[in-house]
Parts: sequence; structure tokens; C-alpha cells
Amino acid sequence: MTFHSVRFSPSGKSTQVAEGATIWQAAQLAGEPLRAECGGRGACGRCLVRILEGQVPEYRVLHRESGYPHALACLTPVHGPLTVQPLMEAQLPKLISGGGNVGMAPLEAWAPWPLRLDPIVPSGEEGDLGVAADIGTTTLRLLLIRLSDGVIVGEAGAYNPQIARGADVISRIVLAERGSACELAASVRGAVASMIVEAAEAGEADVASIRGYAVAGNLAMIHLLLGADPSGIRRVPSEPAALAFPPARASALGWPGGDPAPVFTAPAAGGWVGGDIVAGAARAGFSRSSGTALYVDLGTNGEIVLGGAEFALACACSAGPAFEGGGIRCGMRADRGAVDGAAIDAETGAMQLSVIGGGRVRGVCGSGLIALADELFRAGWIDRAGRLTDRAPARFRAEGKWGPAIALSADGKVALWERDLASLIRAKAAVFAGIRSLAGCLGAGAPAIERVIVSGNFGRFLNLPAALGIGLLPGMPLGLYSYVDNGSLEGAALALLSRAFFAEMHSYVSRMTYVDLADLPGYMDEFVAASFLPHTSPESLRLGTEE
Amino acid sequence: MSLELKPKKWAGAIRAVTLGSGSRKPVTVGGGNGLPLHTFEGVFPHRPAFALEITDVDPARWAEAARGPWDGVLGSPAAAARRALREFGADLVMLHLCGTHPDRGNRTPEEAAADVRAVLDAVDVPLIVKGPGAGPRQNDVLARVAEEAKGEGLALHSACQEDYKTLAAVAVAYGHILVAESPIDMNIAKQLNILLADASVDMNRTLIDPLTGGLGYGLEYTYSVMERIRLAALGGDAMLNAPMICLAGEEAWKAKEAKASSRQEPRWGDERRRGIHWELATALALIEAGAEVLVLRHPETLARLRTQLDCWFGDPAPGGDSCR
Repeated sequence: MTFHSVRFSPSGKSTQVAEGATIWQAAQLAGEPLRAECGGRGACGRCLVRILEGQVPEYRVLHRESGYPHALACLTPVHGPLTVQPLMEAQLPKLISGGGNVGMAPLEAWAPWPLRLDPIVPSGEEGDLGVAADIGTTTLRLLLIRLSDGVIVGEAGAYNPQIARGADVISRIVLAERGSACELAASVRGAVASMIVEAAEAGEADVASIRGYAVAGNLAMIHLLLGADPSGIRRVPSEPAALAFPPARASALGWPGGDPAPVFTAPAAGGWVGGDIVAGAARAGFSRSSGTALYVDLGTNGEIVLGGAEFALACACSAGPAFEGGGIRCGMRADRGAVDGAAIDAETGAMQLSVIGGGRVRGVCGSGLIALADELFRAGWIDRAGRLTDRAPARFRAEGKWGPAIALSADGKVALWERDLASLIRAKAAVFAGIRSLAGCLGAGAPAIERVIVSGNFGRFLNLPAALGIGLLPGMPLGLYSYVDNGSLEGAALALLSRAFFAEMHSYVSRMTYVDLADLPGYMDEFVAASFLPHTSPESLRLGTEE
Repeated sequence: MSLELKPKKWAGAIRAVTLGSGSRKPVTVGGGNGLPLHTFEGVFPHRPAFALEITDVDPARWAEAARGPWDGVLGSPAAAARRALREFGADLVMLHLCGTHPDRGNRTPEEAAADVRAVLDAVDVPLIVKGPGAGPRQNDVLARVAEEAKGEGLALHSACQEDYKTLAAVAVAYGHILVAESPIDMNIAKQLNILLADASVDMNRTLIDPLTGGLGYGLEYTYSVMERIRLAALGGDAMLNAPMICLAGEEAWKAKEAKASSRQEPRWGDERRRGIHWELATALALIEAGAEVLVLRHPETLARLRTQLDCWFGDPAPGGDSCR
């Protein structure tokens, strides 16, 4: 077998790979951080490299710049010695918000009904600690909590390192099926372990005092974390290995703590409505709710729970990554330089953007996208199908290979394209159609919805009037809406500190009915009807007040 | 025991849309306030109107049986229009400018405008003009045609959700009716009408083409979408209450069952009768679903549909087309 050397510039890392291996594989071996959010299928373009020296097959060359060929590392085979330079930012940006939860007592701040401190793990000593964690597809967050008094002593957040291998749940399940399950499990376990150390150091706590863990996350993430086979989740019908897992041992996951420190996980309602949502609904007090409430978790998947104390319906709709700034040409996470709001004066044609951290516009984040779309729509710069109208002033119009756009930076390089708006409209239509479909399942005599709880990455950054303006959420009085910053994490913290809450989470999940939207013939119809600003029939935005 | 029918009163009604103005003898369609053919509970001031399809160039793809009646005038739109009117008794004529398609003759917008002018000079009924299909070419052709026939109240076929702005502007500027086409989807039909209304198109000057399949090729799907459009319209939805136009002939004659020759399919029987039956069954179903303008290919289908309408609505009152 022939081997070739592959060197990465400017890091200088290098390795030898077998003839025919991809540059991506070389990067893995060399330890060069290269991202492939699509899981190495040549779709995301994150692993673009410049070939500085050496030859790559001509059919893999996407284009040339200053004479250097550019190619996707994940698809390009190595047939000779190469020197390559990664072109995209490989490091994940640092998470902005720490959360500011240290010093808080979850039982006082978050409990939906009075809960007594009764930790899920036996705790005898003064310094005993517990960990509550939210394992998200995109972000990981954890709280280090003192069990004796239920006070948060440390916290940490990080991006899920699995992102580098696949941005969405499906691509990670596919990777696991193809033999990367151990690697995916190791990367997320390792990330959590270092977050624990980080949180403990900040709180001057001793990780050896950790007595137990309560973890919530979507079902695929929990499968990957615990090493269960996730492949059944993405099949039809969805058949996860389990909806609720027995406690695992922290030591088996490589997490610190006195042995045996158990790791409890929140139970899931269905393949696509995981423990994160169940924990969130319990945190929002669904199991003790007198009337009907609606819980909407906005993310790559929009998860929806509709119900009350007696029963609930839950579904997940695939919204795509638009709410997280993904799949949007100039989309980005809510980071420095992201547009997070806009104001247009329709009279003068002036547009003012609000940018996180001030300064130069680098892109648009999910909440900014919603605010911007609503503002553009209200100013009449886009029509109800999300396309630019003649009323958009010429100085804000840009035209490029992706069609027409609204320029957000003076040079027009940062812009909101019509097709980005189309992605957003599809995303909001998927969520709203899900809400309508669940409400439809309740039938004609359905009780009116008395409150709406919004959770998800936006948290309270979501511009609620804008979300209602574009028809993402039902047009109910703003006073009925409330936010839960991170229902999953908060529910996990409550479960850690209260056996009663953990037990109630389990009993509530047995009263939840998982609705697979693919089984509802009306869903597509609702989706098309919602694929309009704000809706094809705006009266439909008022739920429970018609028919 | 006697059965007492309780007529259903609807909140809404279908808009009455008048095709043709200027030098045309106008034809009004729509205006009914009940479900299609429910003459026992609604008032239908205008019967469905029938158009025959003529083309700018010889339609080589037409089945032999559909070409027969047009022998000698295929590709001569003015002569075909005269025959459609005088011999076949059409209410309207639809000129399909298929020859302007880049792959089927690539005729210029100027030539198309000349064809339309010739048909306008030859007959005095309203004219539906169908372009080569959505895209820049259709916009160019229909814009030029609209300009040429300014004030004649043509029905321009058609605007779609992806590309409606040019034709909306043209229809408004030159005083024409705009046909709004949607892909067998009630929501998109409504969305397009909302977009057109936002683009200052008068909703009393539009028709909905819900798009149809021929018998056996998705007709039932169209049927239920049309039924839902009609129910919404009668329920008071102002963005879905335009009259509907269906290209029944084109779709029916696409079916293998309509166009296969007796030589190819000896067991299917006489191809002429078979094709006409196929078109007739398609058109009847569409009328039952609420179509107000039917575009047909074979004159015998038209004649037989008229007989059927007389059965449903009674003999036409002399000097008017009032049904009740």
C-alpha cells in the first residue's frame, strides 16, 4: 500500500495517509480541526481547503483562486503528497452567555409548584454535589448544584463537539450507523467532563464530591451519550432502543464523582419528542396545569406540547436550521456582529439594524432573522410570499448569483437573500402547521389555550411581536406568552433536587401522546397554508376560536 | 310523506367576471350563490361558458380525432376562430400561442401579437390567450399581446405564484382579465390571488385556473380541490371567489385512452368516439366541481355539453342566458 504525506498550513500539522484516503481523514489523523457539519457528504462546504502544493483530481476542484485549486476535504482523495490550507473558520465560536445562574436555588426560582429539597441521589455530607445537564444537538449546558441546600455553585456551557461531524441529528445517527458511534459518544462525554471541571474550578468545588447526575436531552443525543444504538429513531415507524433509560454509572461515561454516582436521564415521549421536552413541559407546570397550555421549543426541530394535567399531545416538526442562523447565506449564531433586530421607517426608507456587540455587521442570527422578516414585511419591502417588492429602496437592494437580496452591510456582502426568507418561511410554516395540527387532533370541543410557553435557543431573545407578526406562533394576546430560558436544563435541575419532580416527569410522560405529523394527512395542507406571511388565512392564526 | 328540502344559504357568492370589452361582445361568467348545479337552492345568473382551443401553429401533437374537425384551418388562427364560432357555436375562443415556445417554433412576440390581431378582426367574441408556459418568454409574449389588444378584455393565461408581477402589471395597464394558475392546491390559489390583489389587480377581473388532470390522471384530486375552493368562496372567502377556468380539452386529450388510435388499441373501440367521451367525462366532472369556463378541443364535446346544460338548467331563455 502506498502512503502519502499531507501537511496542513499554517498549523504545520502533518500525517501520512493511505492512497485514496480523503483529505478530511488526513485532517482527523493529523489533529487538524476541520469541520464537516454535513457529516462528510460534501454538502455543507465547511471543509473547503486550498491546495498549496500537490495534485488533486481535477473533477474535485471547485474553482481556482490565484492559481490555487479549492476543493472539499471530505470528498477529495489523496493521490500524492499534498500541502493544504483550511479556508473556513474551524473553531466553534465561544458561547456568549454564561447564564448567570450561580448562587440561585432552582427549587425557588424554577419550581412550577412547591417542591421540597429531596435530592434524587442520597446525600449525607455537607459538600455533596450534583450535576444537571442539558445535552443539546448544538449546545451543552450544565449546572453544578450543592445538594445540601440546592444552590447552584457552578455552571458551564459549550458547543456539542459532535457538530464538527454533523450539524443535525440525522447526520449524527447516520454517522453512528456507519461505525462512528463510539467516537461520537466519546466526544460528547469528554466535552461534558471538561465542562464539569470548568464549572467546579469556577465554583471552587471538588468534583470528587459529585454524587449524581440528572440529564435531559433529545432522544438521539441520549442514545449517543449512553452508547445505545440510535438507528431505529430515524426509521419509519420510529423505534428507539428505549424511551426511558435506567440510570447509568458516571464512571462508565468517564465522568467524575464518588462511585457509584448514578446518571439519571429524563424520559422521552417519542422518537422525536425527547426528555428535553418532557423536562421542559414538566418545568412549565403542565402536569399541574388547570387549563390547556401550549409549549413550543424552537430549534432545528420545533417540538410542541399541547395539553394540561390530564393529558398532552406532543409532536416534533422539522423546521430546519433557519432559527439558528443555519442554511441562511449570511446566517450565524447569536454572536458578536450578528444582526438581532431591525427598524424600518417606511416613509423615509431608512433601515436601522441592531447588531450584537455593536460594530460591523457579520451576519444574521435566528432571532434577528425573524425580527428582520417581520420588519421587511410590515414596511412592504417584501410581499406576502417573502419576495422583494418595488418598495424596497434601491440602495438596499442587492442582486447576486443567488437572486435578489436586501443588503445589510454597506458593501452588500452581508445580505438577506430571497431564498433565505424562503427558508425562514418554511421553518415558521413547519412549526405553525404543527401547532395547528395538534390543535386539530383535539377536535372541535377543544378547550381554548390559556397560556403559551416558548423555550429554545432564543430564550427570551425571541422578538415575540415579530414572531407573531410573521405567523410563527399563534396570534394570541402577548400576555398569554411566557418564556422558559432552557426548559430542558431547568427541568433537569429540578429533577436532580426533587424526587417528587422526577417521579412526576415519569408519570406525566405516560399521559403524553406522541403524534407523528407524517401520519396526519392534513399536515401538508396546513404547511402550505402557513407558508405565507403571516398566513394564507390570517384568521387561522387565532387558534381555538374558529370552527 | 313529503320531503321538504331546506335550501342552504351561503354567506358568500362567486364573483361575476365579464370577459371581453371594447369591440368584443362581452361574456359574463360566475355570479352564482350556491354549490355548482344546486339550482334548487342558489341562483346562477350565468351558465358555464365554453371556449374552443385554437393554435397559432399546426399542433402536431394533437390526436388525429381532435384534429379532424379543424381540417384545413390548423395553424391559421383567424380561420379556425371563425369556424369555432360559426360552425361549432363556441362562446369564446382560446388562442394557444404554443408556437412561441422556444422549442416549438420560437415565434416572436410580434408574430404572436399579429395572430391575436387577426383573430380579433375575424370574430367578435372574447378571447382567452394562452402563452407558451411560465417563464420570461411567456411574459414577453403576453405583454406584447396585451399591448396589441389594449381594451379588448382578453383573458391572459396565466400568472403563477413564482412569476406573477409582470402579467399583473400588464393586465392592469391594458385592461385585461388575468388567469391565476395554481398547482391543484387551494392554499396556493388563495396565496396567488392575495399577491395579485396586493399588486393592484382587481379581483373582479381574475379567473382561477386550479389546474386539472384529465379523467384517470388525477381528475378526482382537482375535483376535491375545486370543491374546497368553492366551499371557501361560498363561505365568504373574498380571495377564492373568482370563477374557475379549466383546460379540460388539453388535459383530456393528453390521456393515452383518448388519443391512442384504434390500430394501436383495437379493443378500445373507435378512437373518435372514445376521445370525445374522454373529454366529455372530464368536462362534466369539472362543471360539477364548479368550473365556469371550459376550454375544449372537439366541437362535438361542446355540442353535447350544451345539451346536458339544457337538461340541468332548462332550455335557454330566448335573448338571454339567465338560468332561472
